[in-house]
Amino acid sequence: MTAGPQNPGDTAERQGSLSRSLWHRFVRWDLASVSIALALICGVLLVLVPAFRSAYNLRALGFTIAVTGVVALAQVCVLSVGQFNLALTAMGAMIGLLTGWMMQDLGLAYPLAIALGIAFGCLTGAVQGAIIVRTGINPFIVSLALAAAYFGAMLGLSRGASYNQLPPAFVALGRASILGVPLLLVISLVVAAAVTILFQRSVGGRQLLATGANPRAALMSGIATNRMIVTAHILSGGLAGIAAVMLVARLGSAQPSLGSEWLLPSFAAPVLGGTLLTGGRVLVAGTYLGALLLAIIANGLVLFGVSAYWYQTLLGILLLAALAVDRGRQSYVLRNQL
Amino acid sequence: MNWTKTILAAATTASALGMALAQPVAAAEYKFLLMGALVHPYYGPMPSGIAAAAKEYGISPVPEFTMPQKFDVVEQNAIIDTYVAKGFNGFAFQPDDPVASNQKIQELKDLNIPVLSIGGCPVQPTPSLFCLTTDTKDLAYQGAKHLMEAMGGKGNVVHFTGQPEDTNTKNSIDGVAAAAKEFPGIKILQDVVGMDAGMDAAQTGVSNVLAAHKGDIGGIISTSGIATDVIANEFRKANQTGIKYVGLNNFPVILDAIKDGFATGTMAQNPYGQAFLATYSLKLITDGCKYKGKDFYINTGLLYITKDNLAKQAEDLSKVTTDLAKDWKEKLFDCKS
Repeated sequence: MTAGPQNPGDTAERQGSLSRSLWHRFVRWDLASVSIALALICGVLLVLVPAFRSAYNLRALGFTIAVTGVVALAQVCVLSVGQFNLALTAMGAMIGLLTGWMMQDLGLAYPLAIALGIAFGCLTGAVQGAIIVRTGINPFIVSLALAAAYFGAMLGLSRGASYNQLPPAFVALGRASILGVPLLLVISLVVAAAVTILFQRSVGGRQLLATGANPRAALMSGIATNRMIVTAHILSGGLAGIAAVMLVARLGSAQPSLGSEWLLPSFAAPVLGGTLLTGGRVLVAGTYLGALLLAIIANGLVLFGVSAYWYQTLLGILLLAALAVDRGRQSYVLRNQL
Repeated sequence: MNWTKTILAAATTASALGMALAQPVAAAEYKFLLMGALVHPYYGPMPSGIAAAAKEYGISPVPEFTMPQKFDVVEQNAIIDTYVAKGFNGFAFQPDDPVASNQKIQELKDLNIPVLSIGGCPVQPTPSLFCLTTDTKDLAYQGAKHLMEAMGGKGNVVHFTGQPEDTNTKNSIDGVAAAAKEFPGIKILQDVVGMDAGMDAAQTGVSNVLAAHKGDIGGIISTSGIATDVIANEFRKANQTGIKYVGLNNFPVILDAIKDGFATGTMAQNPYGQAFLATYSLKLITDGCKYKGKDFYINTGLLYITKDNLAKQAEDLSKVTTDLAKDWKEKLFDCKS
């Protein structure tokens, strides 16, 4: 038996079905919204603003995303268990200043100072996590109170001093590139890969997510949820330490204002990238796309010469628009049971 | 979350960043950016100063002016990077961090882009060519001297000033103390620091001090911009005209207080002149002139405003700039080649 000529109606139907299937797969993709927003904004900037695609601008964006990405991951770790870390900014300032002090005043070799700085970050996270699980006080309040305590302790001990005589080899790290890609961005992506593996491939990562998704169910299934919460805060502190060290290298100095603007991007980047504030689901790649979107929106507003008086308003509107697009996508998926 | 999605996301990130093969951006001859440290009324007169210098010295296009939203060196650096990408070839800005901003200034210098500082200065050593700023010690000294003269050389003075971590705060305290030494009948009751933390902090600080020293205070000087407005408003609410009061800057609240008798005077700084002279200097440097001045700090002048010169204060302040600009090129630049 030989196949007869295909009915043109069947072919059109098959093509329609294929397009629908691809569309459904796309809208179900967690990163669809942030990718569309990025593609749209990049498209507009590429066409209308030649400076956007200059190597200098892309390199500058790379530096921005490098630090913002790690800051956002520090928040992602606690979001995974359904908690917040509002002390992130104070931790960053304290770790950065401590690392600067160890290099400049104590004369420690910079790799050792970096390691100790990050370890101190883990310690501050451990303290925060331990207070939360031991006292049962809401993490929002605990981290807010600790932020004030950390910042006050840092100012009290340092007297507001800055450290700007850091080892040249350390400062050079902040400006170094590998094949034109900023070294800090490479480090940031390596950290992101490690966090991806943690949440995706390790038992510990799964247990963190299970704790965030449903703490009671996680406890009933034998997960030490309190230990998971402390672990999440330790990871958050450690990542805040990495981000602080990266920022100190980038700025070439350590000062009390370090990390003062971390809080908004630490939440906005993960949320734009599909991480749930309620815990149980994190998207590391989405977090980086969220960080990229934030950086490109800020970059684009300056490139378009938006007045400094209106910048914040437009930034807020664009962020809300990006979040609304994602909300619309999720509703569409639910409504159509895709 | 799986590896396919991660790779797809990474590819999107890479494609957005991977446009580095584009053509370099062409640079115009005069593409200057002047920038404040944050959105603040202090910088309000700067665009006029830029426009006036552009007109006076034929600088086209008119240099741009912008400000970061907050005192954030990372945001300020990102704005600078964006303007470098746009081909700007001269910068004058107030560093958001006197220490950390030096790294960015060095990066600009490495790109052969001249950088000046205006409004506030980076710590030295710095690659910034020079800093057009107010001598804060002199401002406090002169303001305090005017106040003490208005008090008839006797009585108690309270000094409201900025943040303890700001070097200008120490300068201001020293300036007020230096003036007090010249008046044996004057006693400084208190230097109240931390007034620039915000309106709430200033309001609380002012209320506490006024309550604590009620009846003892003969004069008040403010070297904090925020406290200046708070005190002027407090005096207006209380219909207080008995205490002599000298404020900072020439913003509407203090000028109205002077007009209505609630303040004796105010020390106006010269942001207009800082922007004017920075724009002119960037043009000279771009034209090939070399800075030959010995000083890093260049005082851009002050004006003491009272009821007597209130009406023509803008004109008087403009004259301060005109006087400075008169021999600016000859005095500070070598333009032989």
